[in-house]
Amino acid sequence: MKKILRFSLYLFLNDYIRDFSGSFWIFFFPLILYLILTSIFGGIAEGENVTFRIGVVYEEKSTAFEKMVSHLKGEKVFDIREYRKVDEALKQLKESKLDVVIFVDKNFDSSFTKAILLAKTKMKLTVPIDIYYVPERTESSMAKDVVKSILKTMEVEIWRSFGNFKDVKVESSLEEKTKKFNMAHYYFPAIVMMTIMSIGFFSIPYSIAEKRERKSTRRLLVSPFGSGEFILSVILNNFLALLISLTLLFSMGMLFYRVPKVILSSQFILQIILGMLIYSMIGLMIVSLVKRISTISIISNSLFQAMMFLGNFYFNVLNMSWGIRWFVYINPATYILDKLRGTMGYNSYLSNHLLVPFAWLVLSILIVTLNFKRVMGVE
Amino acid sequence: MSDFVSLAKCMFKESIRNKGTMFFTLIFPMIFLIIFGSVFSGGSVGDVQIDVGVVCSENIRESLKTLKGPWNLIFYESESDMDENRKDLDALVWISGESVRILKKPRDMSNMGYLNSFEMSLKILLEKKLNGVKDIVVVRERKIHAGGMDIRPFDYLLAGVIAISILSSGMFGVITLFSHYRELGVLRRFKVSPVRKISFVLGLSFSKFILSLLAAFIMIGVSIFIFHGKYSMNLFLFIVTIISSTLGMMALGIILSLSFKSPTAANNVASIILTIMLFFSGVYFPITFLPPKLRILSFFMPARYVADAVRYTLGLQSMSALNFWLINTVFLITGSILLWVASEISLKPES
Repeated sequence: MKKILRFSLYLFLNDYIRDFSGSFWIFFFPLILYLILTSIFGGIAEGENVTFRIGVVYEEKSTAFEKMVSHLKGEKVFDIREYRKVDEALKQLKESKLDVVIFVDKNFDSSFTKAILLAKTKMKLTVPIDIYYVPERTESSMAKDVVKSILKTMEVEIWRSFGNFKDVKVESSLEEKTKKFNMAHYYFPAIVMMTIMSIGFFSIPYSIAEKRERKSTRRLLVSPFGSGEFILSVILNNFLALLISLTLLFSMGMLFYRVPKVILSSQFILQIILGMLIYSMIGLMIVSLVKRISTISIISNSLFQAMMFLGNFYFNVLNMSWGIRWFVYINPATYILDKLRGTMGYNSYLSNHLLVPFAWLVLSILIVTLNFKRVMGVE
Repeated sequence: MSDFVSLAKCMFKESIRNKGTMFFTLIFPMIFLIIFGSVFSGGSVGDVQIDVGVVCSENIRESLKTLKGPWNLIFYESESDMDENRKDLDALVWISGESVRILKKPRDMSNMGYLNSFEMSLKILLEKKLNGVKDIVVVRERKIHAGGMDIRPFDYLLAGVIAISILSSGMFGVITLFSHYRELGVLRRFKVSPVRKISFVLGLSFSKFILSLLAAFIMIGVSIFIFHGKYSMNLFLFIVTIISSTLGMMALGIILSLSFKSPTAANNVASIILTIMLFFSGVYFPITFLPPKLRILSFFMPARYVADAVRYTLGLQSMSALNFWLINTVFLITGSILLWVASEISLKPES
């Protein structure tokens, strides 16, 4: 055991301390990515960051509409610009300099006054307002929906000003477990999983393949240090790297983003250990099936990206077409991540979290056992 | 001229024989394309479905059915019925006269946004119904397609993915090649050979242009055949954009290769640059959604301009001719200057 621990430490120094790239990807890159994700998405859920650029075209001066949008001008969410010619505003919309264009007809004021006066009678008159948007641009579609909602709210406000208006009281709450939806908390398990996968797909196979190419593994076989001990040392070394990486990540999450203490619970930690075990075995499986480092790099990179983006890490992939959804369901990361998020109080999408991850574990152990000689470069 | 042709031929052959280079130039961007294509091809709302459980009176049910959005309203006879199915619902709603209770169960960022939007729409609808509010304003939605073609959000996104792949293959391709040449001692051999620096730079650039063009056309082909992408390509302008942006990113790749002795360090820095570009260039996430301070950062991202130029050349976005040529000229001039500097440094005789 002492020999294994000593060799693990040697491997750790070699793979992570002497080699900057090893330490960079495992220790620092997760922190950088977490910082970027929280900077971008941190305010989106609450609508803090979003700014909609709205162009208002007045064919003729409209006191009524100007009054309607006047209170929006003070809001940070809206950047309102006025235009006299519709073509000029539409050109800006097409060039992505505006998100939406509202066209206010030259007869708006008179039609609007008539519509309000007739509203209380049995007669009906409506005033059209054109909203131009670019459907292929997400921000433009969203801006259109927001402007539409605001106009409808204003309509209700006009009716409220007539008096005798019955308000609807909406009592809105979030489920007890997720009192405040926080993107920094939501993405935390995704970064943890990404770190585990980086170790499984890159650190473990590269470490073994490099030694195999240098024939070091063969030399180990004729030494008193056996192949099983070597593999165990590689895994232990990477567990140590994961421990350090997660210590940094947990500290950052808890200190700067107030990630709840539940991440220190045994359930959360056990899921991490299970994840690490599965991805260590997948890493060994790759190295047992593929000989050359360049091919390992190709397979690892492809699987890493596919499992990350099709694992519900950053966006919901469970409503995709079955042509690709099957991969989401056979991806062990989907289940481990879902369980990690469930432990943090978020709703789980899936019910059985153990079947697929264990299937991968058993399959990879089986393949590694059958191809063990190839792992060590002896055929 | 002949040394340029020989070098270009030789470097191109070297690239296509290198499994890693070919994978990261041609296959890797394709993986991204297929993943993002499958995720986003349904449109911004497309396949999203928010399951909302509702307990309300019969007359309100009919009005609620007029609510437009991605919500799937499931009506229950009693609270206990809804409670039994709460695990599968994104929100639970109880409507009784003038009061509404909503329990939201956000599962991700998009769900949260949709649930907030649902709450707002529901309040407006109920207040209008309760007070007999007649429509005063009628909103008419007018779709404008920036490039003149009826396209989907996916087509727009794809152009950005192509831009990112051009940039990454330009930058990483050169870093890999330079590291490889340095390791094999090829650069040293060039120094003592009569090969002119200009031929070396042009040969390297030309072989990269061919690969970038190949990658871009394969991606467009895949998006047309698999995802039914619609493009109205201006071939000449498209090639100009690919040449100028590849040149610009190659120069950045060479600068990184020369700045860092270790190829892995250069690769790491390039990866950070690419990650930042992915998030702050407006390709995957609209720039207007970024925090105001970070929006400034997007102005310094080459990917932002290349994505705009690629969309323009594929007929997906409008852009003034002046703007288009300005972007390409800046890339061409900056790229050429940096490449010349890089060739001076890398092929400088050793003292």
